[in-house]
Amino acid sequence: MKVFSTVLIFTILSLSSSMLNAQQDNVTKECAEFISQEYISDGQAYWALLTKDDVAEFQTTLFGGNTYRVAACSATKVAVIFKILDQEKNELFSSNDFGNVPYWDFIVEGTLTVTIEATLDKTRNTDSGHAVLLIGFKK
Amino acid sequence: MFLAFAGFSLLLTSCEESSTTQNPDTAIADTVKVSTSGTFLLDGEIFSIPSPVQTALLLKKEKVNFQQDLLNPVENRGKYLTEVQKAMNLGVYGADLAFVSCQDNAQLSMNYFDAVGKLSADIGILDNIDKSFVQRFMDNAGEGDSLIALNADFYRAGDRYLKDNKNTKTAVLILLGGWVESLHLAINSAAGNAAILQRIGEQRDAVTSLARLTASLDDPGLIDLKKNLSELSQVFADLKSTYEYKQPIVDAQKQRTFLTSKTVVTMDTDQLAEIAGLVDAIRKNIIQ
Repeated sequence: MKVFSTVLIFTILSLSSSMLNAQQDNVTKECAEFISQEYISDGQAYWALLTKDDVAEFQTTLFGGNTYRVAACSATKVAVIFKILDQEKNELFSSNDFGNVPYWDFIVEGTLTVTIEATLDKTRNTDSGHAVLLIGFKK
Repeated sequence: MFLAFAGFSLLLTSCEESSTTQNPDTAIADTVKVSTSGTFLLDGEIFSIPSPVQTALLLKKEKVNFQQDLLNPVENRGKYLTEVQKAMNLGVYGADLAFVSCQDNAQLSMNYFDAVGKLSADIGILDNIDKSFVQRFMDNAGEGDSLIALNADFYRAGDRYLKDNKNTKTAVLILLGGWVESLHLAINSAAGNAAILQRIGEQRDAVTSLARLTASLDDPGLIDLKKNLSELSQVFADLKSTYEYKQPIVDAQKQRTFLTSKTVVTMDTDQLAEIAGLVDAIRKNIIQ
């Protein structure tokens, strides 16, 4: 009985993990549609399991002379609000100022170290969801 | 703000403990955690490493002379026997492939893609990502821009696979190899070129992140590399940097913002020589 329970738990966990990966795959593919053929992926994948009160953030370098596209999506179709802050925490952009638009382009004059923050739209009725954020740069 | 990450970090610790019994090699004291964002989380901070493709495109834009002897020869691939060597050189060959893809040399591109394909198969990535990459690459062998985009998509798919499977050690080492190779190519193309020199100086945040990430990996094959990377990080930290904030300019109709703030990094010839020496030592450690 104990063996059966262990197998059952393992199976449920494995299926949950597979479903989670499939969900992330789907939302990543959907989000990649926003990174059009004009843009090249930065080669990394950023995703987060967010509750409505969480903020996911990471630091990256935007090199001068480049145009970047940042796209943000969620598996639950709830808008992901993304912000870009400079090294002094000045807000350079918030998608919330533009109707929670899913992607935006940034024409970068001089190289910047920025922090990108992502949150779920708190005005929508959701407890949590997977958020995907993709970055591309123009060819 | 970091509460969510801290909570998730604890969860991942238990996941990694369970994976230790299944795959000892990938779990060797791997103290870097995958964060909730899929980037790397270390001491509450999350990192993103610049793509080698961006350096390749800068070298193309600056019309630097192509020097094949700067690349890691594909014949070296057979020398890499450990998972650490394979992962780092997968990054190295990826950066070389990006550089070669800008040269309109289909045969050389195929040779480097072959090396990338074989190393990624060796460490279990190729069987777990979209198989169409290989066919698409062969179909576009003569199309430099398509190859660069495919290269980037391929590495993103690999990055996703490794992070999904909590194999942060391999993901870090691939990024490290790619970053070191692209910096090596930039340094050896920089003579008299202000744009490339500036780009080299702008790697400070990347080297800081990579030094911290790599320091947390416990592997006897990484001792010298970690020491050199730590020294390199210190040299970059000593570079003079100034930041000037300017109000961004928004073009809402075209969904774009002009970011006009900028950082300027100043590097003298002694500092460049020191960086070049350390990058050379790190690269030799990786490719030999």
